[in-house]
Amino acid sequence: MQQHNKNRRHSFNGKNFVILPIVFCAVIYLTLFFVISPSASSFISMGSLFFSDGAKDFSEEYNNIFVPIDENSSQAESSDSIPVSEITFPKYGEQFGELIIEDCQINARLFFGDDNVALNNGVGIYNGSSIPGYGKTILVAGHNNTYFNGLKYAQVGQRVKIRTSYGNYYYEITDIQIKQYDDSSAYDLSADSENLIMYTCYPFDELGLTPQRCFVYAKPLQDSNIDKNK
Amino acid sequence: MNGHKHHTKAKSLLYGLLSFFLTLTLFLLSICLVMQTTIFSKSFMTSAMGSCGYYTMVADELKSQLKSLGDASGLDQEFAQDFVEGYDVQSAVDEYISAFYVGDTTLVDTEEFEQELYAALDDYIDEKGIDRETVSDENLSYFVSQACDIYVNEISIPFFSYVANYIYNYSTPLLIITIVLAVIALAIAAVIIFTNKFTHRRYRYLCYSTIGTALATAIIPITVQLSGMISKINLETRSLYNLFVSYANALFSYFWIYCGIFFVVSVILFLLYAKAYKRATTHHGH
Repeated sequence: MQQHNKNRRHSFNGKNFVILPIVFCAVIYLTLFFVISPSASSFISMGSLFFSDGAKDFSEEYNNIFVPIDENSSQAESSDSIPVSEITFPKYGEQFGELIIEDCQINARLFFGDDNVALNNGVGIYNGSSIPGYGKTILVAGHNNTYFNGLKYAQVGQRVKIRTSYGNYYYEITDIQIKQYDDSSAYDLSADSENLIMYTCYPFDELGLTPQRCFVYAKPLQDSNIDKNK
Repeated sequence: MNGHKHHTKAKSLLYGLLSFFLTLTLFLLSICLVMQTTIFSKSFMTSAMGSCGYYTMVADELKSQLKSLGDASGLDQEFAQDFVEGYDVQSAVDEYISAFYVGDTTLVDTEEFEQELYAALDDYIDEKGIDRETVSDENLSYFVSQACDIYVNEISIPFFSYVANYIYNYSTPLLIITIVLAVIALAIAAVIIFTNKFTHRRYRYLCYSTIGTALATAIIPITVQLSGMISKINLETRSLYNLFVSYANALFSYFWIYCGIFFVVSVILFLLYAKAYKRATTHHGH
């Protein structure tokens, strides 16, 4: 009897309270995995498209990488080529320069990208176009009620200055045209030569949203100086 | 003697299997209950919206977008500010959400917004003393149509119409599944209770199941939280992002609640088991 009791006491196996639930849990998840994975794998891989590598930043604050170059420094208007490796290409939404047209009383922060944050704080380069010095089309947008209101005073021959951290660039207005907002002939983003196009809604100071745009074209007064091979 | 041993082993295996199926049923039941109290509940959605300040954020975004549109349309920046403050964004969002939970797949209704915007523009023109002859109706209509597009984007939730359709169609089947699972769980528990001669064994097998269910329900929120996926969701606006994070965190907290309930039940069952076991062995000892 004592032996019998001893055996019974011995059968109080606390390990089972840990091992068995873990086994149950593992079997449930393995079963679910094998049952669900064939039909759910496409949904799972599609779902991964909705996630990024890090948490998204919704800050209305913009990053400013613009460090003005002294007008008198050799770097400011140097015609020497600048290796592309020495330039910090702006990220989308960053302020990287200034656009100035003194005759039109325009002095605006220049952003890469033309989202609301950029256009509320200055003027923005369409990110499908280029930035100064690269020898391509630079397409700049601004609101006609704020930073590009001065474009109504634009005239052929006036000078446009773009200041960036890697150099100051000068352009001369060559043409002003009024076109429809969806007229793709207004710009050529594949052009091989540097050209600046600034545009805003037209007519100026009109109440309501207009389908017309005022395009101001300008040609560079210096050669493109960024060496893309270095 | 050998026959008795085999019989005991077979019984242990049978009750082990019953415990496993009880674990599976309770786990699936927990998932169904979580879904009913979260995804399938309109009040859960509105509560998540309220707790993350969704309405305020939508109003702010609408204000910011209309301000930008106003900058391109010759309107003062105060126009968007005053208009959105006067417009009830919360009731528009609630109306949109409510429609889906009753099976109505109507998209955002812009009629009221459009009328109020035209009225606000009329007031603005009068207030600024703008000559109406100089104002183009076409330009104003274009402005209003763009503003309505912004409004629809802000009020609507991506894929919600698609998901809401499932929510409406599957709410009754989910309720039936929940009831069926509850009945199955009770039946298995009854079998364990009424076919076991010893009380401590009843508690033991039930305890295995509840611990297993507590573990299984804990794994889901642990995996999601360790992966950090919730905060990495790629959504266009701050309001949607915060709503998603708040919604998902609240949803997974329900798994923790069920895990906690099963854990407490497990502790009680274990204590009862220990007591019953002690009594059984003492009784045999005497």
